[in-house]
Amino acid sequence: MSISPRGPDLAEFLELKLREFAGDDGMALAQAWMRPPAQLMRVEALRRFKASRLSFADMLLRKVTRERWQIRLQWKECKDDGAAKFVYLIDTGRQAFTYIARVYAWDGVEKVGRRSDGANRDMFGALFIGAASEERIAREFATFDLKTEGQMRTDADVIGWTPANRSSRHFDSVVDALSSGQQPDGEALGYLMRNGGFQSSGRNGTVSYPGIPDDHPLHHPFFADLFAVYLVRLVSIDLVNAVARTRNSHAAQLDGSLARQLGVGNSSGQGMCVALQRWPHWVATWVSVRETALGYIKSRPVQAHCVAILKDSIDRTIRIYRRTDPQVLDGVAKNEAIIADLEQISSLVSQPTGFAVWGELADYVTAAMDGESAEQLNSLLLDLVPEFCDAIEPAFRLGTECQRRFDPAMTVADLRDILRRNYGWALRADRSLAETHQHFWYHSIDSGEQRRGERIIDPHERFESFIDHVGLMQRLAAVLVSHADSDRAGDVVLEDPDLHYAISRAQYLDRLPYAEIRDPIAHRDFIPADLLRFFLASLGIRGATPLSIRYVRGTFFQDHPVPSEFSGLEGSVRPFGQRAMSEAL
Amino acid sequence: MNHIVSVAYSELTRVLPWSLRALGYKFGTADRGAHLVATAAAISPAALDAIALARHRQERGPSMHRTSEGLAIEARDVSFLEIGPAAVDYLAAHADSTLHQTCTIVGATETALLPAIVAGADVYGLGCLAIVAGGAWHFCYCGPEGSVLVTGEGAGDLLGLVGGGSELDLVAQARRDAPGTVRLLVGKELQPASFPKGAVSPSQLVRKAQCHGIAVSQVTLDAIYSLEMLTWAPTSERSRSQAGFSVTASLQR
Repeated sequence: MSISPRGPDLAEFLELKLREFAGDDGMALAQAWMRPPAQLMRVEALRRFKASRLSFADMLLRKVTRERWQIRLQWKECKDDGAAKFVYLIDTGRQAFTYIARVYAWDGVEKVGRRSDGANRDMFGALFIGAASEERIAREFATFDLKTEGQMRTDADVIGWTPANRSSRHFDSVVDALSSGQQPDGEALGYLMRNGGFQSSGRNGTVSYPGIPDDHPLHHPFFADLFAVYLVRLVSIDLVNAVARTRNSHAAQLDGSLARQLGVGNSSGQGMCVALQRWPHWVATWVSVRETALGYIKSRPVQAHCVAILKDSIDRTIRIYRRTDPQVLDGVAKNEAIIADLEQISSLVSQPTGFAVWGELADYVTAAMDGESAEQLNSLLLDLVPEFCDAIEPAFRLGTECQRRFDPAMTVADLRDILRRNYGWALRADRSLAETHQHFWYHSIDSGEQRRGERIIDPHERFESFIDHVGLMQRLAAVLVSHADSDRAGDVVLEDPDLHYAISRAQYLDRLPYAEIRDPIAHRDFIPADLLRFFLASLGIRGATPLSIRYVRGTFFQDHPVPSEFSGLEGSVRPFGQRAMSEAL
Repeated sequence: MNHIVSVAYSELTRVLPWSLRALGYKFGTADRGAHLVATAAAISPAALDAIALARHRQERGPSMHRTSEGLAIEARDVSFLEIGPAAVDYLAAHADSTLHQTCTIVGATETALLPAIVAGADVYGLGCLAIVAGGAWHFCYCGPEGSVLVTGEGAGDLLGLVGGGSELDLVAQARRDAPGTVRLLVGKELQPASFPKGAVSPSQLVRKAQCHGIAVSQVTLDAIYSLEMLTWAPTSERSRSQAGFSVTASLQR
């Protein structure tokens, strides 16, 4: 295998690691277990993906824990109306950076958390690239206090802002309980604050992601976003403790085991589908890495010590499903059904079953049980090969940094070959009925987010967000037919400049088999929640619950470690609640 | 008040595709144009002022014909945003068959984008020279540590830089060009005869912009955002009725 002078691309890197772990013969066996794109890249398959140790939140927290990051609350101020300020310093051992949070007096109004809410949030936080000075922190707090969308701009020393809103359902009851010296009821406790959407990579003047120093621990796809959400989780815990103390100096502080149980609420809308279409190499990376790891474990023999690990992972997962809100959307497997399947799998692997390799178990489950249970098992199987998963983690950064490139000298004949090779499914799609491309996505003034409209009926189709990759490739194919085989891509673009996007997309995805979602997203029957579930599973949300065909709710970092579990230092984090957390751990 | 603010490179590449579509450009052109404009702004922030004042795209596109001197593009009122990168692509596509490929572009607007357009040939491993008749020239070549961009005025300086060879012919031809003509040359072996003064590295400028942002006037930034807002639409009643948090599944499965 030859590797380009730039270094290995995604496929090369994964092949290198697979050969390193499995050897030549083992690599072939593992690859034989990888599902073909025609099967895996359908919405029906992607929507079943579940979070795993190769999800971004899991990878981030493993890094944080392994490197024993210290998160210290350096300064706080909390008033009895609930307004507060927090300043944290995060020390990774090699670098230190600041996070600040400004919480506003609780007005009793539940905020949905749409972008159109603008400055109307219960909280704003700022994650700095480095350690910020007192003067700089004061300036950022002053910016937040403008509370006027459009006037709030920061500098390129900030990675992003973390708007968030209180959960009126939980926040007040927790504060009330603590103020009266009691612990809140942990049964229904999921989160105290909801993520309002990390505003980063240029938004409001924040630094562009490529501008984050290469050696910064958050210079990794989604690490900054998710670490910021993790910090909101800490703020929410420190906030309820602080507010309770302003009401009663003898107020209880949140018990450590309850604090660990808390995550950050999240609701994602259909606009995320646009991101998946816009950045197909993200999709390619997520699916390729996961499927490579799955191919590897499926080719490994079933061994007793792995059975024990799998049963433990199943038990943990069942506990999460038991706490997850009921699934109410048609077509989404009920939590009880998945729990029953997982229990059956646990029982199955406890007995001599004749499964020689893990892939045989996975095949059996796929044939005999719900498709979502089968994909849940797949995610849990990755726990059996942690070293391999760790080894291929760099592929996420490698794959995401892949850039769309255009080869102007490629002949039209070669371009047609690419289309035939990779887009037969799109070129054969029958578009004669309007329902096949009935929908389009557009920016909504009202919500500040992407909404789905219907062609003809809704206005602004001419400003639709890119979503229709089937139509794009069909048009490219049609234009290419009008050119001679010997013409070059540069000739085509000279006549049709807008086809630069279509051609470069086909060219740069040619080596990424898991890139294109092989279904028409513009089709009348496409359900946005299906791809949202795929996206959220890749990020690391467990127990995602579609609230409608357009929104999916979930919780980040529930049951994940709190800083006192990994910092290893006295006095880390927790100005409040420290003792309780330590005791619980 | 028109004060100076910092705009992030990624902010531009996210907002500009919409701003440019508001000006009438198709998705593929606007997507590419956004990166072109952001790079041009990283090289010289004034490029953003030009885009903020750009006119709506004309329905009439460029017309082309081939002459003995190369491709001639009549592009009156067509923006370099659209025709510039496409012309470089065309020249790059054929740069392997002869030493250099040339074309002329007449009447195109937004010449502030030319530094970024010539710098764009670098991704193909090619050098590029653009000469504006009676005005500035921009020369980007592949140096040992990445691409190098030089800008100057007048044929004298350019002749001193390129030395001899076919570039000399091009300079001579450019001297005869009518005002509003831009002559483009793309080639593999395009190198300066002497080390140029005032050279910059486009990739380093982009990197700097990604790390520290780009200084821009509030008025210009507001204008770019105002263009973007033209592409936003009110949610229709029908869409609104389907968008909420209620459970409305079922129909489609």
